[in-house]
Amino acid sequence: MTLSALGFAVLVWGSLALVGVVFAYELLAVWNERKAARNRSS
Amino acid sequence: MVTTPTLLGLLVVVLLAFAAFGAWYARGRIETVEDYITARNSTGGGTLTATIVASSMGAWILFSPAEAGAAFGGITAVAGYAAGSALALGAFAFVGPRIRTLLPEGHSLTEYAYARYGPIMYGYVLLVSVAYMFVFLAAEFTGIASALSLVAGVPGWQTAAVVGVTVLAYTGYGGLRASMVTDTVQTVLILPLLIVSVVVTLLALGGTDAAHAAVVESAPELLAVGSPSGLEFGAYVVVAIVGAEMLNQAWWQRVYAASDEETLRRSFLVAAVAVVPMVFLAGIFGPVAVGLGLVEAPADASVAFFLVVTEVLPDPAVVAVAVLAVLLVVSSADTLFNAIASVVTVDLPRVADLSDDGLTTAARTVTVVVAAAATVVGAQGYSVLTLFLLADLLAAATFLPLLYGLYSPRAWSGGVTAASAAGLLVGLAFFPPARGVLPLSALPAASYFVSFVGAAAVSTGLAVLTARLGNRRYDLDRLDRDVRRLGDDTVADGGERR
Repeated sequence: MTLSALGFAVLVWGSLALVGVVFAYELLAVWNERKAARNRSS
Repeated sequence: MVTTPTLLGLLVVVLLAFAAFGAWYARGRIETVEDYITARNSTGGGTLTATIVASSMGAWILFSPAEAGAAFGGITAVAGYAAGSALALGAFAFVGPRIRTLLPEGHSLTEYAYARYGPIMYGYVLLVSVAYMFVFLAAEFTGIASALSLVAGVPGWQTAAVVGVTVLAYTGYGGLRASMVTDTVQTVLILPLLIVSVVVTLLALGGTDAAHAAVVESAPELLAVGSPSGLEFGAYVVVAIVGAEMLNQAWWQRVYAASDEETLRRSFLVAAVAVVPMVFLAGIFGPVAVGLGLVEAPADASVAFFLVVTEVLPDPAVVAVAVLAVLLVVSSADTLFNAIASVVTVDLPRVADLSDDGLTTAARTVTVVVAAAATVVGAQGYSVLTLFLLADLLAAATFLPLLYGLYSPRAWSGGVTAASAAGLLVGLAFFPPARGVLPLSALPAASYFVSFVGAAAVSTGLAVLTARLGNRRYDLDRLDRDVRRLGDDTVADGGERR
């Protein structure tokens, strides 16, 4: 079975969206860690 | 075309910024060799996930998945690559807590191999692990040298030297802590750069429909879901990647660096999810490059991603992709420098009476040697594919018997060593490059699938069988008593460790 144009688009844009979600998760997690570390040291 | 001075100048600025940041962060934080190579229980979920993603995503993602997509089975092969990469990290979410439970004061996989199985298995695991990590490192340097040569004509030795020296500057000084903190920044840069690179390239191609149409017209077989060649490739690449990564000291270090088991489990799982779309996005450029008629010779497949990028993107965007590639190399190289140094350092107390300062100096010296060797090898432009596959095969025949000892008290040294050796023999017998040097023409046709799957299956089967037949019992609690922190001179039986 050959991947259709729609399937190809869904895979590509879905992957991009997932990378975007991981990026947002990372930013948030690192930000929270830094904030917690600052609170502990103050 | 982007000029060499422009690109090289930009890279020097970026890399010096990382070197300064890594060294600044590590200042005052490296007091013992434990700080330098373990950073035990120090790392929260955000940083740990970032360092795992950055360390696993080397420049190889811009080469190998696209090559798989162009030459080894299209989109199905790319999916196999993604699955293998994810499974390797996901496995540590389960094996990692076990490692921490049985060896809470441990540092490395070789240390575990020595304590659990003795010197023969230790020597074999040391050889396989260091060989794999060094080939990985050399491949990263070779890959980035060839990529920058393609996009801006940068001589290979200049690329290798700039990357090697700057990464060494902060990793040699700050060790694992510097590596992990720079990995965090690199991940935060790599993810959006990858998104932008892919989106801009797709838009320049006319969108996903146009890219899809180009592949359908020239090579529709590359878009076949579940193609036999793609499935075969996917199956053996899963075994190859999982096997090799289980023997990658970088992950064992991060198992110990995690602040607790829940953080360890979650971070490896999130990283496993993250690598799937990243590998897939890079991999689709393989079929697209074929669709655009850019893959004219077999060697072109390995640089398919860069062929598409240089074909359709304007110079500023090509520079952004080049920066992405360098960040990917740097994020893996610093990890591997420190991982190789840690494997050697942890074993030194067995052969030399060194103080804590002496061990830290030794770790830094090994880091310098590894960096110099990787820089020199990377500048040569060798084809490292066969070496990579050989290291993968060695790992495929070793990793399951090795890890079996974490779970079964019945596993024993002679049994797992024989199992690994038998698995390796089967793997080599069907390993295609071996047919040119070994007299094996009487055997059925060689194939990577039979080689890798056979090596893993035979070694596992024999490890289990010998454990059953051997009727031996190993007290797994001994691992905790036998493996202590560096600088901790006493062991539970009252003896001197070094």
